[in-house]
Amino acid sequence: MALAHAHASGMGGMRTTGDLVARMQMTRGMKIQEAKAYVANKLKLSISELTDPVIMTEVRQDLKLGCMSPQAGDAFGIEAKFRIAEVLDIEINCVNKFKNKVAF
Amino acid sequence: MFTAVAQALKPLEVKSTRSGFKTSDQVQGQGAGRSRKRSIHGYVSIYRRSATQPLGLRWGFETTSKKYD
Amino acid sequence: MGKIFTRYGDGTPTEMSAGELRADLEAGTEDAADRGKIPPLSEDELKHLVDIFSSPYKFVSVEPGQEIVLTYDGAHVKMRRHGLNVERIQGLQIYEKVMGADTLELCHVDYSFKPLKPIVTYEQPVMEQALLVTHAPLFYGAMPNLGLYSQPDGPFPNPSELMPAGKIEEAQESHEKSVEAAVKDIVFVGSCMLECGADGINIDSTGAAGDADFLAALLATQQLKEKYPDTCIEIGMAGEFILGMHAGLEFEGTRLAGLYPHDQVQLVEKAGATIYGPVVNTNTTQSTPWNVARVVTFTKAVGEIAKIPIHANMGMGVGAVPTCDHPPIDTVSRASKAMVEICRLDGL
Repeated sequence: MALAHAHASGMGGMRTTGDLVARMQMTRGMKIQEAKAYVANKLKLSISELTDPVIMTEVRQDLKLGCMSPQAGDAFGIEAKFRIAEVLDIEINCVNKFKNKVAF
Repeated sequence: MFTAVAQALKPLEVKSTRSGFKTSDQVQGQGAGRSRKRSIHGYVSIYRRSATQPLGLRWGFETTSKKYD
Repeated sequence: MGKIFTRYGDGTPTEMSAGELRADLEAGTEDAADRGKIPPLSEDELKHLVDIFSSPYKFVSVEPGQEIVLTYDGAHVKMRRHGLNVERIQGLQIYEKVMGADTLELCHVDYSFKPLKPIVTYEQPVMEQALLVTHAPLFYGAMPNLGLYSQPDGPFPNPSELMPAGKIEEAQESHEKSVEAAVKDIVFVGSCMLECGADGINIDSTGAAGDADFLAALLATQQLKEKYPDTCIEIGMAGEFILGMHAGLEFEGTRLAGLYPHDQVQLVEKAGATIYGPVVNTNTTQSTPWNVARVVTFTKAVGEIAKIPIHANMGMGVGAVPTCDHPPIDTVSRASKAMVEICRLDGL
């Protein structure tokens, strides 16, 4: 059922920008159109390109935002979240905790 | 073992309850025999304090070589 | 025109004529309008639903550009239910990469805040480690589940036993004490998980035990937002209607018993929640078109007034999704498309 929803009406998560748009809803309480516009602006894309997996694979790899098939050297997990926080100009709780833990 | 623990702790006055079990001043009135109704509308610490104890405190409890201050 | 394939609310397949389809859609929206005192769907919206259900294809979807965000409650539990013995962090990675999840949720199989209290120190390292190896925002979720606070499972007298005995005041006092205890537990567990890096807390199945359950979620949200102002709190409901088990509980001057989703969302916003997940229950004896029309009517009313993002619950037995273990994609996709295209949804 989860997959049915994902295919019928989902943004596709990491395949595209679903996780980034979700972060804007969670951190700034943005409604969907506002969140999409914000992410599109930050990534310098149009809103329609946000859900194109071919375009977004390239964008995510270039900006190191985490990608579906990570190669050696690609940003993964917390590394990608550092980049997401920077690119979207948002605070991510686990990124801040990580910074505090590794600081000397 | 009870004797060793009692010697390590600061000496407290103890009072016996009806069952003969000795309780300390710190827990007086809060055992099974309490009759005073305790309000739960008062200050709730978790609403203000951090829920996760600092690592230094947790490691202190677990390291047996340290003394309890 | 030939027969149109659809299903009942329990998943049983059936066929209906175009006239029967239209009649069911009208009956569903009128039922919602009557109960919630809200406007029924317009003629254009009904025609759109007829088009969706008349489609001969097994699977339908929204048009490009209309996609929304998906949040999943109890993600890992669903995998364990299918006998897939993956551990929680692996389950989250599967959801993120394979199932297209836009957000993730770490949870325990015993999905309530009260039983999490003694084991939360085991949950925290799992959350910390999951955050290192996932990319999507990661919630921690559980239910207030106020039933656990009544005897024999909890400390307070059981209101379900006191009420039939005529001890109304005692039953109400038990509900009130359960609320206080539940709020402390939710704040404690929520604090623990937020302090180790969680992106948000999902208070799921709110209202399952009635108005006291809903009040506990609202008060806990207030406390958590006061403590951690930048965090995300999602309140997901259990049912469309708040049962008046206590009947006298209020939040900010509004009585909670009897509230429908368009009333609930206003209180959820006042409590400071970031996301609201309305629920409309599926009627298993009615057809899916009837259920979809009803759900869309209720949810549209929420979308028109909500200031915070709305992630409608569309799981087994809610949101017009059939109440069966494996909801068929023909029905789920139609319900999904209908909800997104007619209501002002921000997510599912």
